[in-house]
Formats: sequence, structure tokens, C-alpha cells
Amino acid sequence: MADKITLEVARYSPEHDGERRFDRYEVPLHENWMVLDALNYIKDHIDGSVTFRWSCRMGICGSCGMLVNGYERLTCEALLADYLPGPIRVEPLKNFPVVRDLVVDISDFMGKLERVKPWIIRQPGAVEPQREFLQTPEQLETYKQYSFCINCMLCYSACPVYGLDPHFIGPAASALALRYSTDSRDQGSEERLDVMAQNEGVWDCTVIGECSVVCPKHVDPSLAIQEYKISATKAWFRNLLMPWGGK
Amino acid sequence: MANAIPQSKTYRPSMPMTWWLERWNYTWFILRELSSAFVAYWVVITLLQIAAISAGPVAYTNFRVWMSAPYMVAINIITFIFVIFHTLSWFRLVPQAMLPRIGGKRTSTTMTSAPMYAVWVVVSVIVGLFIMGILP
Repeated sequence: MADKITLEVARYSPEHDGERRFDRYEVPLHENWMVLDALNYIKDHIDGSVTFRWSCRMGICGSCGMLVNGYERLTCEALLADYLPGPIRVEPLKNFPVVRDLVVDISDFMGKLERVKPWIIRQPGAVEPQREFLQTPEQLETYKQYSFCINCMLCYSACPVYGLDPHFIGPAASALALRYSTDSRDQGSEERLDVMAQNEGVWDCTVIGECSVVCPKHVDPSLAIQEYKISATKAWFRNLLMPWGGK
Repeated sequence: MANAIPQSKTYRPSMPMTWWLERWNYTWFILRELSSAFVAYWVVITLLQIAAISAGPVAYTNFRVWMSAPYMVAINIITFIFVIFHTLSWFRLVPQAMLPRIGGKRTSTTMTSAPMYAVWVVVSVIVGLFIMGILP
């Protein structure tokens, strides 16, 4: 095995307001090194100005998502050796404004996340249990898959619909909306459906499915969006047939 | 809402017109959408065929002569390929859009797809037997 590998890292600095460029760095190729290890090596030993996000190094925090050779990956899970002989091209996630080098502005996603209220909602006056909520294994199974979302935003990068229409609520926000709306403890599904059933909610999705392909946690946000479409359709018919029956 | 970083300080690469060529999934999606036009054409031809049958033997003979013109045969072969692709693409899509639960557990992709392919094969065989005159 070669003992070095080259990384081509996308660079952009707001001070210069120019087009981005690619800088090449040669790093040691260790058997167990990930792309994130190589980026940290560059920052520590070659060029301290290279900017990127990272935290846990174990595929949990969702901070280090980037494009590796054009595909969305958590760089802490992308083995350098898998990209031999190189070079490895590292770019920021697509469809987001780039703040600097490999760091993107996630404020649009954070706003969307807030709109779907990703927390347990209890209605005023709801009878609260005197002890912890109990759930059956079947009730847990209903939302468990969607609870694995780590907000890494790889799905937004892979979604051409979001690239073409940034108003689209997007895959991860939809998956998290469904995660809470299908939780037996939650009472906020109607509030979320009001957001999700809009044109720029789930109906913008054209079922390309790449969001589910790139998801590092197998959340399958595409499925969540389609399930929301079914819920929205049922609610629409319910309102049509029983306009006085409440939502 | 989170504070946005001033857009003037950020860089947003533009989405190229050829984005749909970047990945097989994107290309598949565009072909799936394009194939709808061929399905619509197929429906129009079928309606014309029914109209010709209703109008009598002469009209239907004229329709068959038109259909046997080389350019129509070529168009219809291409249409047939796209209609088959359209069918397969939607069969492929169903497990992406719904995985019914049985006993609280999601069914597998295969469990969702297999019945559709099975029905497709059975119906195709029955139609084929009709065309070959084996079935009355």
C-alpha cells in the first residue's frame, strides 16, 4: 500500500469574495485513517487555515459531513484507503451557502427544523401520567427508525429539489417531524401537519430517493416524506367529508 | 429562528443544468419523468385505435396501415421500451414510498415489490395468450 495520499481541498475565504479554488495536500496514508484524520493532519501540520467542522469522530454528532469525491459522507467514516490511489477531492456540502472552505451556513436548515417542532408536544389540559410514560415495543418501533437522524444534512446536499427550491422543507426535517408525530406521547401531529402539508412541505418532493441513499444512519427520510403525503391526503379527505368534524 | 450569516459573505455554487447526469439516481428520475410522455402517447394511440374500430372496418384498416408505416413502427418500439421502463421505475419506487407494517414490523422491500411483479407477469401471460389466440 502507498504511504501517502493526496487530498484536493475546496478553499473559499469570504475576505477575498472570489471563486473557490482547490489546494492539494499530501498526507500520510495510515491504514485506519479517515478523511477527517487527514484533514486534521493538514490543519495541524501543513496549513492551519483550512477550516472545517468536526466534533465526535464517531459518526454521532453529524458535524463533519462533506462531499468526498463528489458524494456526501461523514468524513469521520470515510476510510482514506477506500479512495486509493487518490487524489481525494473534499468539498463542502452542496445546496448550502459556503461560509469558509468546508464550512456551510446551516441557518436555513435550523429554521426548518424549528418549524416542524422536533420535540414532544403536550396539549394544555392533557392528563399527565404520575410516572414515566410507558410505550409498547410496537409503539417504539413506529418512530424508532426516524429517531436515528443526527442532523448531518447529507440528505439536503443530495436532494436536487432542495437545490432548485430552497423553500422545500427537506428530508431531515420531514423525518424528524414524523419521528415526533408518530410518538405515542406526542399530541402535536396536527400542528406539524399544517407545516408539512403545504406545497413547500412534503409535496415538493419528487421521490428521487437520493436522500435515503446517502443517509449514514439509514433513517430513510424519503419514506418519511411519502408517509407524510399519505397523512396529508387522509387529513384533506377527512376535512372534505367532515368539515364540521374538526381536524 | 437562527441568525443567518450575511449572504454577501457566503459563496453558493450554482447548480449546473446537467445536475441530473451527476448520479444514476438523478438520471433515473429524469428518465422516469420523461417516460410519462410516452405513456401519454400510448394512451392517445389506444384511444385512436378504439375510435377506428368504432368507425368501422375501413377506418380500422386505414389505422392498421398507418401503424405499419416504418416511422410509426420505430416510434412505437421506442414508446414500448419507455413504457416498460416507466412500469419498472414505478415498481422500483413503491418500496421507497410505502413499506406497509405487518404485526407492527415494516415489510421488506422484496415483500412489497414481489406481488407487483407477480401480478404483472400473470397479466402479461394472459394478454399474450389472448393475442396468440390460445385463449378464446
